[in-house]
Amino acid sequence: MILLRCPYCREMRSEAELTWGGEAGIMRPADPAIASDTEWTEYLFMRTNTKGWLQEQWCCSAGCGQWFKVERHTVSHQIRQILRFDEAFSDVTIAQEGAA
Amino acid sequence: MSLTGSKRRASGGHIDRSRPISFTWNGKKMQGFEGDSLASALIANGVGIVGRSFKYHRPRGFMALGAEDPNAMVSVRDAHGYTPSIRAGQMPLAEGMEVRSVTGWPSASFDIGALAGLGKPFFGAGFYYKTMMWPNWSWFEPIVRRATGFGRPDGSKESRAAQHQYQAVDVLVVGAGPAGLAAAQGLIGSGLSVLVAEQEQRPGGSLLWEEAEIDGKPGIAWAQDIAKEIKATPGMQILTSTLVAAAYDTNIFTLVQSVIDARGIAAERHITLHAKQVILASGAVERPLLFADNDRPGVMLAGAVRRLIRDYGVAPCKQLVVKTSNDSGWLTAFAAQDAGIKVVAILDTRPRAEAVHLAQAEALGIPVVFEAAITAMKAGRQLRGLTVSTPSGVRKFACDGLAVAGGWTPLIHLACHRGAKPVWNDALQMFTVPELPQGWQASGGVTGCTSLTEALGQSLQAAAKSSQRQAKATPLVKAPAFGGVSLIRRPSGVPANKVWIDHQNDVKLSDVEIAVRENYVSVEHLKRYTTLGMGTDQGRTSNVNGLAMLAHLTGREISEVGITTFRPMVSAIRMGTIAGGHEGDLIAPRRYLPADAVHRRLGADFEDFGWQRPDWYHRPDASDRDTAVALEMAAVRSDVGIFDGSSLGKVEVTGPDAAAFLARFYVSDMATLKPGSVRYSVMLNEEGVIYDDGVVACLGPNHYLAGPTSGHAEAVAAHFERWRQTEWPSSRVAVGNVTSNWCSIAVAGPRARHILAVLNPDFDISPAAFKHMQVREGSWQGIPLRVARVSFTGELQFEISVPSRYAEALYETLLKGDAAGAPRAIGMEAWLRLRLEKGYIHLGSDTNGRTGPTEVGMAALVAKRQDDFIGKRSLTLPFALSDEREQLVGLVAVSGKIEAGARVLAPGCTAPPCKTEGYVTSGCDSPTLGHPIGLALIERGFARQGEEVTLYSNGRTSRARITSPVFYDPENERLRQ
Amino acid sequence: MGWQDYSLLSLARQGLSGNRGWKQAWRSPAPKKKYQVVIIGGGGHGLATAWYLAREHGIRDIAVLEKGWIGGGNTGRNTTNVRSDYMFSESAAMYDKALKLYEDFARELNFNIMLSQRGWVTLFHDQHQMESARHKLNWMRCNGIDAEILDRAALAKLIPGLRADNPRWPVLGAVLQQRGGTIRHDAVAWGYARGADRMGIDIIQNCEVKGFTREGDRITAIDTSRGTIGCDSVGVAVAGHSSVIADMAGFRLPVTSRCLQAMVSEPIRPILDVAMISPATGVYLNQTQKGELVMGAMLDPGQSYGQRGGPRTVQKVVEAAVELFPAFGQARLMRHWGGIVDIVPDSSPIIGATPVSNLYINCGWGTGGFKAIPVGGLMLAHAIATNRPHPLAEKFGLDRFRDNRLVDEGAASGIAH
Repeated sequence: MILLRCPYCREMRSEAELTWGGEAGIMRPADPAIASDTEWTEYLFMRTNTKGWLQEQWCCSAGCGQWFKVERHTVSHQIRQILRFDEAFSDVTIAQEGAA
Repeated sequence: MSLTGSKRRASGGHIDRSRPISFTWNGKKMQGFEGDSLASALIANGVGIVGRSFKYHRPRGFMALGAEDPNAMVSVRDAHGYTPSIRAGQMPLAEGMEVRSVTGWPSASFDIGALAGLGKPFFGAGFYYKTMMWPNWSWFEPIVRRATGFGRPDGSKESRAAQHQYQAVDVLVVGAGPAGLAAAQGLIGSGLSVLVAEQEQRPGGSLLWEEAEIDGKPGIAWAQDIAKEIKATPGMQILTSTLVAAAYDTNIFTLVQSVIDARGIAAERHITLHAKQVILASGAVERPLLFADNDRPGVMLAGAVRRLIRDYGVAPCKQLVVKTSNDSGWLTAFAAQDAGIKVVAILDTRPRAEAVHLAQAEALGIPVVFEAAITAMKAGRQLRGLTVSTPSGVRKFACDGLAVAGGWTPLIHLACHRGAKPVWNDALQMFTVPELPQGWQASGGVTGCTSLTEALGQSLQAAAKSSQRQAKATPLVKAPAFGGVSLIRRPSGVPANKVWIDHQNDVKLSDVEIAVRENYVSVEHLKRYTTLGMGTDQGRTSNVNGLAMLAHLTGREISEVGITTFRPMVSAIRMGTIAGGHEGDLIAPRRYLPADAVHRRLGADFEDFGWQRPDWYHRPDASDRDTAVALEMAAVRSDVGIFDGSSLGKVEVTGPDAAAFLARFYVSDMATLKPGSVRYSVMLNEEGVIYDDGVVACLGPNHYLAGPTSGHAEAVAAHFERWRQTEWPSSRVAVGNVTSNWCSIAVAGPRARHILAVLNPDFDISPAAFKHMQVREGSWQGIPLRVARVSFTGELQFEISVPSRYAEALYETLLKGDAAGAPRAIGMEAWLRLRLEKGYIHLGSDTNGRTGPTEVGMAALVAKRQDDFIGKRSLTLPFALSDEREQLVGLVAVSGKIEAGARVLAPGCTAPPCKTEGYVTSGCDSPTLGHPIGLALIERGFARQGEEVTLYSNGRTSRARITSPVFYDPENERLRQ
Repeated sequence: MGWQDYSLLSLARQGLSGNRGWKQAWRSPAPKKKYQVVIIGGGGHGLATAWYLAREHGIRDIAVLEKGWIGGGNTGRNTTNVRSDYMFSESAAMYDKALKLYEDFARELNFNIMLSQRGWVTLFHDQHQMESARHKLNWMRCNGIDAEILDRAALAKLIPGLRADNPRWPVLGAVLQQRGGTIRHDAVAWGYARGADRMGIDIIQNCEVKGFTREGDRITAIDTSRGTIGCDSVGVAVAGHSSVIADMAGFRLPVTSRCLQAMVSEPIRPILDVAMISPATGVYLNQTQKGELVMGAMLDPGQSYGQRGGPRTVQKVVEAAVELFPAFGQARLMRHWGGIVDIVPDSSPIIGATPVSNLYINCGWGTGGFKAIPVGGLMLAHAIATNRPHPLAEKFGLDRFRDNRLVDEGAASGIAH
């Protein structure tokens, strides 16, 4: 079971209270009108689907309602970073407080 | 002792002889005592055969006393309900229990199915896969299936409550044996919250039956004292009869506790626990040995025999032979002799034993044979004797009991649930988990430790680490050692088909041989091909022996062979307990309209549309659905009706950028919407498919109210909010879902304005001042009032909203009507048919995952938009531009009915199977038009106006003509009145 | 090739001679330096691909590489249901071909997979679902798939334990596909492995792919834990890990790996004679030949490569099962586990060509790959052998995403609303 501490309201939330939002860093083409079919459908459909450390989006949906970003290991489900949506991931390799 | 044939001793054990308990076994009256488990009580009453094996229906006796026992599956009816199958050792004895065997027919002790044993040579591993293919497996399946399974649920009502609890602690200690108790003791005074969970009824673990002295006290007294101390410490608790059933990521655990309170009320508690740290002290179970005929009733694990004697005061036999590969057997022999059982011989597989044990055996006059192998058993339904091959020749012993000790299997399950890897320790002859999950420690038998002193030391160290303190001093211990274990070997000189490995599933050494011959040599293949270890005992007594044989037969080490994956549950738990009180509305709560009580009073027949909504209303003139729907429709077309649309989504979007924000979601440009105006449009997902539809009202500058479809309100609000936060965070806009805050009652029909006038609103509602697609705000008797003039029915229609708490008052006021009469209450079905006559789409019925704006005739709107909106780019991808996507058209019947879900057959086709080109998305007999009509999604539908098509529905075909989807008032004259 | 017939006669003969004459069901050869075709993934789909390459296209110089033990992925973790009750004609044609191949499996491969066509029942709980049920029935029949509508009385007879008058989810009726049912899942992998081995195909277990050697847009060799293996073409059938192999080959897929759980009760006497699903509660169940109730339902939240699930799904599945069958409350849940499935945006498979010219893929079956194994193998084999999509696979290429030509079965029946 996934437990995450929301970086906005600081509450520990279980997966029942969270909404998963898929990979982080999927960039919508700045001007869709000039994006090629390939660029547009890459944005729509193609995913890295990393086995290992994955950067993804979660929403504190039963709490404060904010979307935030998480770096999670997709095999062990260990959490390495939890960030507000406007923060950038760092290259840290040491585990931070997440689900503990 | 009172009962003839009883194996109960006059003294000894922790049962309370002053509190007898009556129960029945297969209808026969029996007696046990407070403190007995079902298993100990049955054994005490002389029950030798408790069930039959799965495949050959071999008679099965008790091998062990707990969850590890592969044999003793029984059904139990007690004061609290019925348990169709459970291991007898897992059930505490209680007054009035009716216990039955669940295998064997007509009975466990005489089973006709045992004839299957005659076929043994042909039913080896994998025989199912090799035969019964001609003519077809279905010829054989019923016969095979009939013979399977243990008990049969009878569906009777449980009085045993299932309660769900959630807890968080600093430390979970698994097991209240000596190791668990010592760990908990080490945590006393640390200020940490601690939960100690013990599967058995009493704390103490092996101290209940092993001879030990700790800190100068008898082991059990030491255990009881610590248990008391734990209970007295704030923040610490010890739960007995509590199974830690599963461990999950982030240290979440499922625990199941059985409790019976002082009033005799029973409950099973399902506890979801979060623990910061874990001390695993789950212990180990004993393993049987492999030899000829080792599945006979009367063969028991040596530790179980000790426990029967010392914990339950039961002497399971009169003449006992002990067969052992370590010191456990010796301890059993001494305990048995002490309890008045004649120990016929100790057979040790090793070449020598501890001198101290040897001396004691000599002193007690027990014959000892080293390097002994059992080659045959004399047994019918009861053990009578055995033949042993020794270095000095063959010997025979008469006995009615055989205790076996083949080493230990640590209960590492929970750590393995978390992904810890079991590693074979050749010296200890067992799998342990050297690397534990983060925050976990282990102590005692689960680590492979067999010394009590060492176990207590490990526990205190673990406690010290958990509480970041100095370790307390290890207490002084006097206890016998278990010594080294000899290697697990294939028994020599014995046919493989006489050596049983999995006693529940009837897997023999010969089956492992077949699997190896056929190259099913991965452990998982072996398990799945032979069913080794797949029984309800989860292979606790059989897996390691099976792996050892696999290793032997393939010339590998056990460490190379590995072990199958451990999966939750540690031991099976009642599904009713998992479900708990979660039933019916508690799984999926119903949502009620704010004026629900009024609809009930009016005789509504409800349907679940995400909300409980009136489908139609019973009235004196309408006792069936079709009549009611027709009358309700007629009322709207000719007079007036009122409809509760409170479930309609209401999402407020406010702020300086609100208009631009909304424009990014809708196909129509909401930025040009003027205050007081309303606009209908559809919203797409990024793939260009219609995601939602509805109207947006502009209530004032920077203030909009979007109306997503009922049941989609939360999703649309969340959709707005996600884009706001993640894509346009600098937009000055706020999104608020107010769906439940406002009720919304629609009044529709030629007299709708008269009914609205009843409210006497403080704004002008004349046709000139309040036009179609406009919105007005005001008040009704001081209550905020919003009225939108929109139409879903094709008639003049107002949607009247007030705060939800006034819903009943509003509805009742409108329902009274005016001097000319009262409006009729309209249900969902009539409402949907009215809109069908008008050709308005019902999202999800008339659209599907391939329907874009083009397909519902909105291509011109899209073309007009210069700026971007969500999903727009996808409308120029090849599929959107192709003519493969079905287009929404109308259908008018030429012959027969038009039923939603009917397929539109391709031209030239008359009956299935055949190619189809679309389907009827909505259909009904239109009372207004007097003939069946429908909407349909049909390939190239727009270009096929006037064409006749064949419809197919559930065995019938009909003909229909493709038309415009608007059947009623195409000029929109009525709704503009 | 050491083919040994499996029959009553061979069982009798072996039984009388101590079962000593059974031959290896498949060999465990060391990998050769090079093969014409290397198939990555020794699950049902990969092994079936090898079998059909040999049988349909005469290609026998094939290795099947398996990271662990054959059938150890989703082939051995699913709830064993088979059915072809699909609506889009291209889906129906594909899944029904799979069912037909399963129906012929025992004859074709001389291995009893215990196909039990006990009927696949989809329950419906309200009027709108009955409308979708009718649409489904009509479409299935137009596709030539057997289907019938059952009313409540017929259902009560077919499924005695079902609580049809459940107040929260009253059962109004159901669609039955009689040819649907269950299969002994492991047997599918074993049967194809034995057949492929007989054709001379090398099945190489404990052989993990580490990377590819490329020349231009072609793969010339595969780096594995058992050395480098040369190849002319590569087939990939590694559900759950499709993106990992794609990443090694330098392209991305529209796939997200997620954990799907399944669970079994302890064996009880026969009590449920059909395989069934209740879409409203999400739960699907059947009872094995051994008596265990097998259950599953929704995906665990989030992306995952960890083959273990969380307790919330277990809770939801069990409470739904007990809600539908109150008597099941007395049964005991014995075991639950997870498998990693490929989730794609339209829940339809991806079969055939990839951006690498000699690498072909079979992935994206979502939660339903087991029932498709024979056809998955047939279609991938065709792509490898001919460099063209199999006629049944034309709508299921990776290129459909660039065109946004999705085949979304779920959405075909209308958005839940």
